[in-house]
Amino acid sequence: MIINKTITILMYWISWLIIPLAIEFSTNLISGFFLIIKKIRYKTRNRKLDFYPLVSILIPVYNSESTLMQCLNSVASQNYPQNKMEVFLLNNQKTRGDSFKIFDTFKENNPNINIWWYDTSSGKAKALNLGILSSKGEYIINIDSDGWLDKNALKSLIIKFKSDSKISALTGVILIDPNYIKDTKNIFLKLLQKCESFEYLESFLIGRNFNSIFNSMYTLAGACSAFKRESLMQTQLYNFETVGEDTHMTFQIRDFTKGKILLAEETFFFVDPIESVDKLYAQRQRWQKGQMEVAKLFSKFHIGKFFDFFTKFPVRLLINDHTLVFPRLIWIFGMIFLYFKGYPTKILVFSNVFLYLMYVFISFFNFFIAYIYLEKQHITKKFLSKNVLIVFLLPIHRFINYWIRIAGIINSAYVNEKWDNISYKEEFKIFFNSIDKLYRKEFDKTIYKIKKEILDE
Amino acid sequence: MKFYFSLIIVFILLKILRKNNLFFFYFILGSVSSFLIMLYFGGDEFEILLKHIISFFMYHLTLYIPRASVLEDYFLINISLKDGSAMSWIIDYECTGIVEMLVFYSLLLFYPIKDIFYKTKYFIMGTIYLITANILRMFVILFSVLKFGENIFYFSHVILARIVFFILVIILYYNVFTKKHVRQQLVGDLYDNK
Repeated sequence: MIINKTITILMYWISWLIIPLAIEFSTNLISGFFLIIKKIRYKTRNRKLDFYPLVSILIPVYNSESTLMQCLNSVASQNYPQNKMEVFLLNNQKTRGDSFKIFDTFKENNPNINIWWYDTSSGKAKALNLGILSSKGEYIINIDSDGWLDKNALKSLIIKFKSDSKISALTGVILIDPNYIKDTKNIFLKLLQKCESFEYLESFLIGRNFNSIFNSMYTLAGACSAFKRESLMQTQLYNFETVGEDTHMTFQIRDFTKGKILLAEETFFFVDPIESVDKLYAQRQRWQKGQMEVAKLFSKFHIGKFFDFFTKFPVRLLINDHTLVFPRLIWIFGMIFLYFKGYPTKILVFSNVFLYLMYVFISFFNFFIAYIYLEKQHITKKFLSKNVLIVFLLPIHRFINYWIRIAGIINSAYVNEKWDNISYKEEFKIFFNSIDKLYRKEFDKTIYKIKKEILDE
Repeated sequence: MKFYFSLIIVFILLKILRKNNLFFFYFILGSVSSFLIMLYFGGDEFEILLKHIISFFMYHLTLYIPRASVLEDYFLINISLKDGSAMSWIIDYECTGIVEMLVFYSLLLFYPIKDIFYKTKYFIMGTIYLITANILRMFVILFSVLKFGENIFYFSHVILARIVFFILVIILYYNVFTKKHVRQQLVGDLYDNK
């Protein structure tokens, strides 16, 4: 009876969180089940390549002097014939900087690789478009200059393309390079970076991997995506009006080619972890703004009636990423309300702990499934299993990202110019400066009044 | 006195945030504080009003349902069960859906939609919608008890009716906030952004 009563009171406010949690929980269980089956079936597939087609690798260059060499070296050390690849460095900063020297050195050291340098200086999307139009490869691969390809990446991409003629585009698995995290000295930043490692693992090897089964991937990761030339040529190329050009390209491919967009689960691309909370704040807001912009540009996929929830996956995603964000706020409002109503604090604490533990469980379950897909990535595997207790921090990481998501949604409604979002530190600074100014103004007024009164007397 | 003082502080802070284009903090502070203000100023009265509205509709609607009746003035719903026994439940503050309504109002007030006409329209329509959704929630409980007996009450009240209400509210939020946001989203210069 007491338990029943407790649950009844509990359900009153917690249902706003319990229902999304229950949906997430069941989706994760189902996806885990599907992914295990997928893994078992995948093992029996033929993974040899009889013919090596020409591959064009496009690398936009922007402030990447420190990482460019490692990126290029990873291209050179692919287990793919060097005469079957061409590399385009697409410089989109105003000056060439040291990157050009790196290009020069690399070209000298690797005479077998066809590598070109292009100056564009007008944004990533335009740089990529130039690269696409200048390249000749049957397959076009875009990678970021601040990361590096796994040795087997190119070959596995082409094998995946060859496995199904309907595939139009693929995305690689983006992981955080554990070696970079080791160098981080700030303990909080280090924890954040570790959380990010687990988040990426989950996002690619669970999220996108599961979406791949139903051909419902929302975004090809800009850091490492691959296209069939013929598919890319059916689109209007990269859009430079939105900050979500990757998502926009994904929707163009989906809309114009009707082909499949999948995850290449054996193609790994390693990137730097996030450098600061400020960067995270700007990055996640940019992602959210990108999503809203693409939703506008591809409204027919995102806007629907009640039953479209079941047939259009972007509608479902938008409900999760936008609509549900606000009822979740109810939880916080609800807590304030219940506090006013003299609600037992014990229950509030208990329910929060319960929610927290459920999310920890989900993270742990996802980690376990994703781990199976890591196969030969021994360094990453070792790093992740050594830091497995990070799953206890992941719900907090999610919570932080949740607030940044709201910030992204709200700010995207106001800011129209190209993404130049200020950092939260700057925002606080502006805020406190204003208060300071106001205070000073009032203070000066009072002083003036007092002075005047004294003078009058 | 303390309350009015904090009200002034909140108002000043909101003005500062707005002036400096700190939209996110403006939205959060605005919606949270407006929720608390609404709760403080009219929470109890609004709750009683909602109880009256809901029991009024429940009273008239249950006239057509055998074995169910509503004592309008006492906010009491009576059901005679198949086995001859009877049960009743009170329309309490949870049943009024007051939290959900005030949250909707506070979000609508500060959500970045510039169209005042739109906000007014959905303030009215949202109110009607949420009251209807609430009545529907009551009917889910009522019908499940009539059909399956008293034992189902707990399950129906705590889980089933909540899910129904949850879905209905999500539909409202999707239509009022998400769709509108997507439509008014500004992108580049080439596209028609009207």
